[in-house]
Amino acid sequence: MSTASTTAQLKAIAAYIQGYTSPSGSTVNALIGGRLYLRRPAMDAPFPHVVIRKPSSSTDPAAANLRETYELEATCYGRGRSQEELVDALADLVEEALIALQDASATLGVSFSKSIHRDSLPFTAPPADKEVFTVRLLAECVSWPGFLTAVV
Amino acid sequence: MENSPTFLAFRERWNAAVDAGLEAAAAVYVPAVQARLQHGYTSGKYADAHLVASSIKVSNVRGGKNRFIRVFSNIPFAAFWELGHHNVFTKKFERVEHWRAALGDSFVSMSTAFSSAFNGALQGS
Repeated sequence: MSTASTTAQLKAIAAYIQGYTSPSGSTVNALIGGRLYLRRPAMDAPFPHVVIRKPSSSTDPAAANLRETYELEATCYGRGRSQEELVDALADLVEEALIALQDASATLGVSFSKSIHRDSLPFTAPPADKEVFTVRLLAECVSWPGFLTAVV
Repeated sequence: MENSPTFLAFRERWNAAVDAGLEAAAAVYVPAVQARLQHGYTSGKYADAHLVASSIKVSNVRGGKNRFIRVFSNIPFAAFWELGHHNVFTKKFERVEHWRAALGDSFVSMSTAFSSAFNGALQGS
């Protein structure tokens, strides 16, 4: 795992979230069975699943543009009434993992999260699948990623 | 100090200048979003985007120390196109971000409009 590229950074965070174990012993992976996708879900992905992406980022001239502040979006999807509570519990775990995100390893770069915003999206209507229940987490994160720090 | 007439008058003027800046920035952003929505969502075959474009509203400036203005649409399907959704017709996950992209496109123009309106209001021009 590294931050040599944005994809590597996302993969590292995905692996971190999947492997996260809460103090009560719950794991994200136990709830989604490995269905954590980058950028968009796989075609016909079974529910529940999680999608993470990095919709925007900016560098800081005060830190020689080596420090990056970015948004990390983690969206949890479930389908049907039977999965509503499951998706809420899944979002709780992912939120917990993101709050605890803190890494200073040489390969991941120094990374941490600052705050999380959470929205439960309302059930929709066609063309969206009205059975899908969605919880969206938006974390503000900071990193000194390899693809920036490699230039010095 | 914080209750002195001079300070209160300055604070009122400062807030009015910030409000003027926010309104100027929103005035740049709205047409940028509308222009992008003219292309519709996905291939443009969904006419819904035009409905969203015509529904964009700007709220009054709100807040105390942290003042903000809101550019929004009350049409709910705009949210699931922008945030992503599992589409029952295409059977795919669909997401088309016009609002975020318009913000990126017009950020410099919005900053310039804010500065100009802010300075103008503060200087009383």
